Amino acid sequence: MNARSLTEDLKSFSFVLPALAIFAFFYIVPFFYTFWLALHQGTGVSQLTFVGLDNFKNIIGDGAWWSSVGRSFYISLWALTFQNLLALFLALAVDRAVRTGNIYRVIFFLLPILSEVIIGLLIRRILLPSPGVFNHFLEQIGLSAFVRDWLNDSRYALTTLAVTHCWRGFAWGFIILLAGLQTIPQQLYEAARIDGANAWQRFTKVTVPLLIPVICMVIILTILGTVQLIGLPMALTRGGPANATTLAVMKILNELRNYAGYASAQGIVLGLILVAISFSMMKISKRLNKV
Amino acid sequence: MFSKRVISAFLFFFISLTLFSGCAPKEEGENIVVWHWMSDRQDAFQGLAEKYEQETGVKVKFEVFFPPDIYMQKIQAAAAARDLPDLFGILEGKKIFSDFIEAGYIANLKSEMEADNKAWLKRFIPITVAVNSFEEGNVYGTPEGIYAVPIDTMSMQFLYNTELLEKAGFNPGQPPQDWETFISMAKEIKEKLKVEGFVCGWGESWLIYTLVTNYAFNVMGEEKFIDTMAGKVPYTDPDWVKVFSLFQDMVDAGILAPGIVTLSNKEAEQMFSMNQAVFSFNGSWGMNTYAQMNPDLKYDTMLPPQLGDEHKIKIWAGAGSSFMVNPDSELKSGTIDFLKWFTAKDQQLTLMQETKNLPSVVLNRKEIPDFLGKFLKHMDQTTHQNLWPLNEHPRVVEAINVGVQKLLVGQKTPEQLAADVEKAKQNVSKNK
Repeated sequence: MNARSLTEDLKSFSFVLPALAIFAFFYIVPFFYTFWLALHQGTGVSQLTFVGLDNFKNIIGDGAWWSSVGRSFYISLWALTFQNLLALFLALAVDRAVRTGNIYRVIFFLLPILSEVIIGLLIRRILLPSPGVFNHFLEQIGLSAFVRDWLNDSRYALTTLAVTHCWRGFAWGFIILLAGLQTIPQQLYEAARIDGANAWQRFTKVTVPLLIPVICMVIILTILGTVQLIGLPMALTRGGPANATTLAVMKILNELRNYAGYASAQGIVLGLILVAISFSMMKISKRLNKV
Repeated sequence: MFSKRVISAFLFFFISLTLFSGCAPKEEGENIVVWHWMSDRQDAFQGLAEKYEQETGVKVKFEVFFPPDIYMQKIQAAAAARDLPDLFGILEGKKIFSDFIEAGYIANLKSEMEADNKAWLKRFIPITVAVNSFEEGNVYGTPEGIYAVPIDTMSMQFLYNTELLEKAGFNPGQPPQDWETFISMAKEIKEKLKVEGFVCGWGESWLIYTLVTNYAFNVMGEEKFIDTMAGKVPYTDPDWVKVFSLFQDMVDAGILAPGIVTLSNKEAEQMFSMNQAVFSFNGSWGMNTYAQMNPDLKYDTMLPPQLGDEHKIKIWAGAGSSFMVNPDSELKSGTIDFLKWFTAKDQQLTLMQETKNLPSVVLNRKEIPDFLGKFLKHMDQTTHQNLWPLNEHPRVVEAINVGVQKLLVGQKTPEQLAADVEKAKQNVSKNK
C-alpha cells in the first residue's frame, strides 16, 4: 500500500468516523456494558461487586422470572396464531382488490401508528368494571353470561392483554404479507387455473410456498415484537393483578431499580432466547425453500 | 468544488467539537441547573428562578423530566457518568439514597444547616429534615449528615367525603375512629347511596406497603415492627396475620372499588373526586387532582381507623420533595445560596399557593389555607421509612405487595400471604 492510497483511505475513514463514534457510543458501549454489569451485583449507583456468573445461576432457579418469560411467550403464541392468521386473511382479501387496496392499507395501518400507551389506556377505559362500557355492551346484546372483570381477574387479564396486542399489531403482518403476495407473478395463478387447480389448491400450491420466506420473517418479527412488549401492559394493567400480566421486559425493568446486575443478566438471557428462535426460524425457512 | 484542505479542516473541526464539547469547563455566570420530575410545579419553579435572577443576577434553569421512572433512569445514568446537574432530587428509598452518598454524588449540608446558630435548620418542620438525614451509626454506614433540602412536605391519610356521609345520615364531623365502625359505615353508605366504600390506587404497590406499615405500628408497635425487619420476628406471627386480615375484611365487606387491584393512584383520585367513593387512602399531593376534577368536592382527612388501643397508628409524612447538591458542582456555593433563598418563607408561601403542596418550613397556621391545613392534622402520629433504623429488603416488600394483591383477588388467605412473605424473608436472609 503506498502513501497516497493510505491517505485516501484515511480521508474516506474520516467521513465515516462521526457516524461510527455515535454508533459506538450509543450501541456498542452499552452492549458490552450490559455484559459487564451482568457479572456484578449492585444498583448501578453504588460500588458494584463482582459476582462472576452468580446472576446467571440465580436466574435458573428464579420461578418468578421464568413465569414472566412464559407469559411473554403465551402472548407470542396468540400473536403467531390469531394475529398472523387475521393479517394473512386480510392481506389475501386486499390483494384481490388491488385498486381499492390502498384505502384498506391506510385503515388497517391506523392502529400501529397510535402508541401502545394510548391504545392501552383506551382499552382500559372500556374494560374497567366501573363504568363498565364493554360489559354493559355485552349485557345489551344478550351476552350477560360473558360479563367478566377482564382486567382484574387473573384468569382473564393475560388473555385480554394478548387479544389487545393482537388487535393493535396485526397491521404490521398485514402490510408485509400483502407486499409478499404482490410479488407473486400472476402468470403462476393463471397457469395453475389452466391446469384445473381450484382456489384452495392455488393457495396451498402457489401462494403458500412462495410466501414462506415472508411468513418466516413475519413470525420472527412477531416474536421479537411481542416478547419485548412493555408499553401496552404498563398502560393496561400495570403488570397486575398480582403480577398476572408482568411480562419478561417489565420484570427486567422492575429489577433494574434495585438489582442492575441481575436485570442485565435477565436481559442477556432473554436476548439469547430471541436470537436462538430467530436463527431457528431462518434455518427452517431455508430448508422449506429448498423443498 | 471545495478543496481538500477545506474538507479536511471542516472534518477536523467537527470531530474536535464532538470529542471535546462535553469536556468544556463551566464559565462564570453560567446557569445553576436543576433537574426534577415535578412537571406540575415547573411554572412555579421557573417563576421563582426569574425572581432570583432579578434579585441576584444569578440564573437558575429548572429542567423537568417526566414521568418519574424516566427521571430516575436519567439521574442514575448521569450519576454513573458523573454528569449530574448542580441540583437534583432522587425518588428512591434510603438504601439508594445512601448509595448515592457513598458514591460521592451528594454533598453533606450539615455544616451549612447548622451555621449561624442553626439558622437555616430552624426554618424547617423537623421531620422534613429528619427524613433527609443520616444519624451516627446508621445501618447503611453512611457518615452522619443532612444530605438534602426539603422544599415541601406531605402526609398520607384516610380521606372521607363529608357530603356522602351526611347524605347517608352520618355526622360528617365524626368520621369512624375504629376499624369495625369504618367497615360497617362504608358498607352502609355503599348500600344506601350506591357508591363505592373505599378506593385507593393499589395498582401502584407502594400504596399497599404504606398502609401495611401504618397498621403494623398499630397492631404490634414500632419495636416489634423493626424487629421483624431485623429478622427477629417472623411474618407468620399472629400480629402480622392480623395486619393482612384487614385487607380480607375489606374484601369480605364488599366495600372496595371494583378493579382496585390495578387502579393507578390518579384513577383512584379521580373516582374519589367525582363523589364515586366515600373513603380513600391518599397523600396530600392528591389535592391538586381534587381541585382540578371537582372544585366543589367536600372532603376531610382522618387517621386510618385504629385497630385496638394498645399501640397508636402512625401515618407516613415528612418526605415531600427534596433537592440534593452535587458536591462536584463548580457552582456549589452559589447553589447552596439559592437553596437558602428558595426555602425562605416568602418563596415557600409562593410555592404553597401555586402548587398546593404543604410547605417544608414552619409557617403560622393562619398563613396556611384550609384545604392544606386538613393534611397537617395528626402530624404528631407520623413516621416514614427514612426514619426507621433499617428498611425491609425490596424482595420482601415485593412479596408483601404482590401477596396483598393476590389476597384482594381471592388467590390467598392472610395466613398464606404471611407464609409467602416469610418465605421471601428467609430466602433473602439465606442469600445475604
